Amino acid sequence: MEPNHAFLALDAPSTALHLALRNQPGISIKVGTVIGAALNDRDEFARLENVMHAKPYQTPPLRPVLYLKPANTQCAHDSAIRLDPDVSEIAVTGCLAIVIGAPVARATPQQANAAMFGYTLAADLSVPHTSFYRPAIRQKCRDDFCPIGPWIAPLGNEGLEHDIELVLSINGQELQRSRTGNVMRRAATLLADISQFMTFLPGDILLVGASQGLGRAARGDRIEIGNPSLGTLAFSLVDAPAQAQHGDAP
Amino acid sequence: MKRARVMINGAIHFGYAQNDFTLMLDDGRIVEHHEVQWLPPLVPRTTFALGLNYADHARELAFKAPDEPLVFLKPANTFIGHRAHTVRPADATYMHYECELGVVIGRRCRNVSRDQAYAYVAGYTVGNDYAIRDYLENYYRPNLPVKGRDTCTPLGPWLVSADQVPDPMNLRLTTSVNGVLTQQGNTRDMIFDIPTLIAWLSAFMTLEAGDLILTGTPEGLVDARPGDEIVTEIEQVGRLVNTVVSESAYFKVKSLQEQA
Repeated sequence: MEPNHAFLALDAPSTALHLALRNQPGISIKVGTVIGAALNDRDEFARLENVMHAKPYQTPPLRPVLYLKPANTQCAHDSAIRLDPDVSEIAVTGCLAIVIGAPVARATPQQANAAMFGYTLAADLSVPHTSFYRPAIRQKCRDDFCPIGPWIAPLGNEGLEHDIELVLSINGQELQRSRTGNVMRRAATLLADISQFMTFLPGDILLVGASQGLGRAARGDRIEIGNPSLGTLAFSLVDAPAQAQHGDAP
Repeated sequence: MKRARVMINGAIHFGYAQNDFTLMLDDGRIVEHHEVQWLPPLVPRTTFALGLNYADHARELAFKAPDEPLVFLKPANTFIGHRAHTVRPADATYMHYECELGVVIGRRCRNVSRDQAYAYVAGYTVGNDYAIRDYLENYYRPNLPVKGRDTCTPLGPWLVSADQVPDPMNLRLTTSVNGVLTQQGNTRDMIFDIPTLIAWLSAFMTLEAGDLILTGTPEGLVDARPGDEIVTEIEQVGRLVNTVVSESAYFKVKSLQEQA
C-alpha cells in the first residue's frame, strides 16, 4: 500500500500542552479538554441579572454556562502571546484551573470532589465582547488565549480549598482581587452538574473564574495571576509577526 | 482511500474499505464489516460544528440565515463510531439527528485564502450531530448540554481521502429513520461553503491536522426515539448507521452514583 499524503500529518499528531507537578518536575500531565463556566461569579451574575431577563436571553440560565478553550488556545506559563492586528486590547479573567485525576461521570458533588487531583492557575483571554448569546469562538478561541500553569499543586488530604484569592496584575500593578468562593456553583457542584452529560478523564481541566473580563491588557503588557500557595502564572502580549503563516510546506 | 479505525481480536487497526462488505486491515487480513467494532475514524483535535448553515434548515428552526458562520465547539467525550448506540436522555421530549459532512484538516494552517483552502483538507467523513432540544438555553447557544453529550456524535464509518471527493460542494445528504427517508439535501446549499469556513476560522486561529469541521445540516428533522435506527448518508463519503437507546437500556449496570 502506498502512503496517502493527505493522512500523514493526521497520524503524527502535534503535541499537547503538558503541565509538571510542583516539586516533581519529572512527572507531567497531558492537558485534555479545558472547560470553563461563565456567569458563575455572584457579583457578575447580580450585575447582569436585569439583562438576563431581556432579549435575547429571556430568562437567567438554569444550567452552567459553559465554554471550551480548545487545543490551539492552551499554552504554558511565561508565553509571549501574539495579538493579531485586529485586536487592540484583550479581556483577562484569572481562573483557578482544577485538574481532574480520575474519570467523572454522573457524579455527586462528593464524587466529583474526590476525582480532583490538583490545581493550578489559568487566564481566560478574550477579545472584549458583551454578548453571551452565541458561542464566542472568535473572541475566546484565538491562539494562546488560555495560558495555564506554572505547575500543578496536588490537593492535600483536606481536598480543594473553595475560597482562593486570585490577584491579577498588569505590569506589576494590581488590578483585581477576586475570590473563587464567591460563586453560584462551587467547583464540586459544577463538575458534578457537567458530568451528568459529559465524562471527564484525567488531564481534563475545569476553569473556575473570577468575574469575566474586568481586566484589560494590550500589546507590551506583562500579566500575572498569582496566589500565595499556587504560585504565579505570567505571560506577555506581543505583536503578531508581519508575515502571515499559511501552513507547513507540503 | 477509505480508512476506518476498527477493533478486532483485542487490538485497534486501520481498516481500508475494499467494497461495501470487506475491509483490509493494516496487517493484511481481510475481514467483513460485521466482524469489527467501528471506532470514530479519527480522534478529532478540535471539533467545530456549524449551526444554521443551510437556509432551509434555518427557516425550519425559524431563524434567519446568519451573517457570519455560527460556530460552536464539540468536546472529545461526545464521539462514537459507526453502528454504535446513542443515548436518549429519559427526560428528553425532542431529540433530533443532524446529517453533516465532516471536513478533516490535514496540516497546520493560518490565514488561508478561500482559493487555497482545499489544499489543507485531508478528507471527509459523515457526522451525526444529535441535539437534545429540551436543554437549549440562550447562553452560548447551542449550549453544551444540547450538543456536547456523551455518545451524541457518531462519526464514520471511515475517513475518505480528499482525492476521492472531487466536488465536496455537490454531494447529496440523506437521513432515514427505520428505513424511511426523512431528511435530504445537498452540500451545494450550504450558506458558508467549505473554503469560506476554512478561511473564516483560520483568519483568527491556527488550524491543525486532525481538526474537524462539521458543516451543518439541511432541513428534515424528526424526533429520534429509543430503538430507532438512524442512517445518515452522504454520497461518495459513506453511510453511517446509529441506533438510539434509552438511558435505562444503556446504563444496564448501576451507575457509581446509585451504588454509593
